[in-house]
Amino acid sequence: MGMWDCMTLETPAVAFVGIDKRFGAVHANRDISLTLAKGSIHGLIGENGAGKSTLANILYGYLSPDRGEIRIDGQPRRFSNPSEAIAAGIGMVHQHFMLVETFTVLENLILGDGSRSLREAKASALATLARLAKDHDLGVDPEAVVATLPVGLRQRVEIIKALHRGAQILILDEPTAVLTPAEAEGLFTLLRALKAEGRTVLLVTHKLKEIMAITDHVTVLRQGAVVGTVETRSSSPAELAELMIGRKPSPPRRELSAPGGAVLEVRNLRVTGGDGRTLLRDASLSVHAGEIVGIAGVAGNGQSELLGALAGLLRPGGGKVALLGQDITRLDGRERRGLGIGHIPEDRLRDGMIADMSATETGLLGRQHEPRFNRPLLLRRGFVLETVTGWMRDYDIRPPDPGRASASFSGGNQQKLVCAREMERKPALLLVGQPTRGVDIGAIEFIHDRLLRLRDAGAAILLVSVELDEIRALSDRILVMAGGSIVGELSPQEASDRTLGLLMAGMEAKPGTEAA
Amino acid sequence: MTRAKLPAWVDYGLAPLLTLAAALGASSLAILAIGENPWAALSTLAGGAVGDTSGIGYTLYYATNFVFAGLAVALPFHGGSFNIGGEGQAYLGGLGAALVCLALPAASWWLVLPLAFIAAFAFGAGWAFVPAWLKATRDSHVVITTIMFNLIASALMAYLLVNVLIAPGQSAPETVTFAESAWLPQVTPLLASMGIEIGPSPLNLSFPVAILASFGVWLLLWRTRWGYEIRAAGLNENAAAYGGISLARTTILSLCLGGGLAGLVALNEVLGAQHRLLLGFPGGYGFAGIAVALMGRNHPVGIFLAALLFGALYQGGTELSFDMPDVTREIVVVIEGLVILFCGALESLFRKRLEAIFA
Repeated sequence: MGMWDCMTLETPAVAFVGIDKRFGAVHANRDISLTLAKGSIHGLIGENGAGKSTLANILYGYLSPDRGEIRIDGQPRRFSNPSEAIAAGIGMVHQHFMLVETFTVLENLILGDGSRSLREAKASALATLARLAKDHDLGVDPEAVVATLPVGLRQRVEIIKALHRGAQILILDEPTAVLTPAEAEGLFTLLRALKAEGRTVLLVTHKLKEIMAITDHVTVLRQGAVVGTVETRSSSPAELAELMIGRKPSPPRRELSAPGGAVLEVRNLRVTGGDGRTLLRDASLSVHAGEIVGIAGVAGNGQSELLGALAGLLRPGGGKVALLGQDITRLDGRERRGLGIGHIPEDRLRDGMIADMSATETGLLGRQHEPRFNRPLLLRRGFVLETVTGWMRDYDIRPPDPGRASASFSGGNQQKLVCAREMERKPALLLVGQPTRGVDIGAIEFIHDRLLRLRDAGAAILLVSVELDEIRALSDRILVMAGGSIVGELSPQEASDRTLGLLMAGMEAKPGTEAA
Repeated sequence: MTRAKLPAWVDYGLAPLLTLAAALGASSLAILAIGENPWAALSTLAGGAVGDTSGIGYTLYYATNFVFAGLAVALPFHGGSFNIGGEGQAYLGGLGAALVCLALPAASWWLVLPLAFIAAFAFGAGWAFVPAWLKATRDSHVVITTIMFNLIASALMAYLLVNVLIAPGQSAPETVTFAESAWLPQVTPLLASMGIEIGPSPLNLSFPVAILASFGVWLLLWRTRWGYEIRAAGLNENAAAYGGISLARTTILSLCLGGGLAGLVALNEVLGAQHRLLLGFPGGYGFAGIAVALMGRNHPVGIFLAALLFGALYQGGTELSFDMPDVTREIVVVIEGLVILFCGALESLFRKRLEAIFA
């Protein structure tokens, strides 16, 4: 009897037995054995590169293991492609959705459904939709075009699609990475309902909060191997974090800052969208030297527009921006960079790096005008290479190979590269958007520490994040945005979840009323 | 799924050779189908292309056009624009060169040749400017606009050659022959003056210019800030904007430089070989440049090699249809087409297998 069988007396829904998988020199999964109890939610947690996705993809038939076997309901199975896994009752919701965006919900549901006729497929899809709407309150308009749906609904369509194919075992890969807190809560409610129906959920994530909130058991992977499987109830975030990174995480330093003069002053900044909607409404704020000002808010409440307008990427519809007393409202992005604005963008893959270029060339992005990187005609490539190599050493970017394609680094290492590039310019003002989105714990700690160090060195930092813990841990002052406006200012001590939540929801909560 | 990384010699050497072999295999079937001996036909083709100094001269002469036309596609491609307008840009380049030569019939070569060079480049670039400007400011699709500009160029040039520039008292729509001072020196007489005898061909000094242009494009794209900005804008518009790169500028710059390079086809054809402006002189080189650029992976070295192959096929094919009357011009085009199909469109035919071996 294996050591995992003690978790349940029933035949487990899924058993991984000695799964081993290598990609060239990378040993992605090392002799992994674990079982998922039927009707449970099982968390799979680990840092980026720990082998979570590989294991999930093996279960879904994308990858085949080099050694080991998978048992579904006790039967050894071998999937050579996802279709076989789907036929065996396995469904997967990917981090990046696999939907045809120009199709309607219904069309996406019947895609690859295998019915004999279109009419039959449609009828059965509509039946599924009706049943799910009734049982789980999963109402989705079947005629809505996917591209027009918010992210949370798209994810719901993915789940519906898996259920429509008869998934008994549902794999979710980093499902909350793109969701607002409210959407995430909705997802959790749904997962609990699915569990109550006897379905099994494998939740792949690197967020401890989710693990604690919803899973029954959790398996921690580190460097491709299982370092422990525990009952969630009897564990703690601290214990799991330690298992994940192999040591105790150190809390970020929180010393009081001694702010200097105002670096950034914004008056009544306004941004209007292409459709005439006001996206940023008369925002006024200031950031001082040696200060981190955090902007809290649910994603999509004007934070991105604020960052864009300050970085010179969006043309403001009104208002005034001054940097160190100089009016920069009319300057473009390049000119603003020249005056000492650094910018860690919210979406590094979209804005912050060029995936197909080498790390060296991504390291030059936005800094290609700097005299130190240029000769009269040619770029000083040797010096750029030397500089980026230095960053890789100082920021512990792995693998330390500046010639490697930017896309082939893990999320945390990509983010560190972007951070190095923007921080090492010694900016007077650093604009920071979601600095730790999709980044593993080790890198989060590192980036937080660097932000605080930069603050202590006298930089003014404007931090936008949807992670309230991050805002609280780093900010000297907290501004809350809702509906395109700045609706309140709090000190980190005043910023309880409840106070922040009320402000973020656009409720009239006077700052400080709750602080006892 | 991302492509696995192959060793450079496999990616740029072995893989193209395998596809070329497959293309020749398919061509053999076509030749068999018309009842000819594939071996004899293909060796005639090869012999015509590289069998003697005259054949090599012609091959390099054609290759010169393909290099310019290929670069004209590749450079804008790196900036995110698909330039289909090489044909029209080359045509206008010819106009620029011809106007200089006709305006300065008595000037000496050191004045007229540099001016004609500049005019060819500038007219080609100018013809690309309008589509580039439309893309930069109105987001017009350059594939459409550059195609349309080919048609406009062809109509404009027909009008000019029939009504304005035509040599007096002549019925063929072409200009007078330029003064000899405006002829770009050809290689055969040049080498003969040094005592080296080679067979006759129109190969001229634009060939070394094409090599320099290839080097220049490489230098621009991979060694300068402007090239970096062009490539960054081509790969990720959002990131480019974030990095303070003006998309309008990189679009216009890369398309105009591409147009200028296409204009240099006139250097070889008008100044180097014909010595006058003929109706329809670009003869499809501008379009072939698309295939050359694709086959050469938009890299100057690859383009140079692809241009050599295209030049050899062009010259060898002419020889083949001449020597073996049963192999008609159309069959030659089929062979050329198969090579382009295999090397350009089916370049990943052997990739999976090669990846399994080398990656």
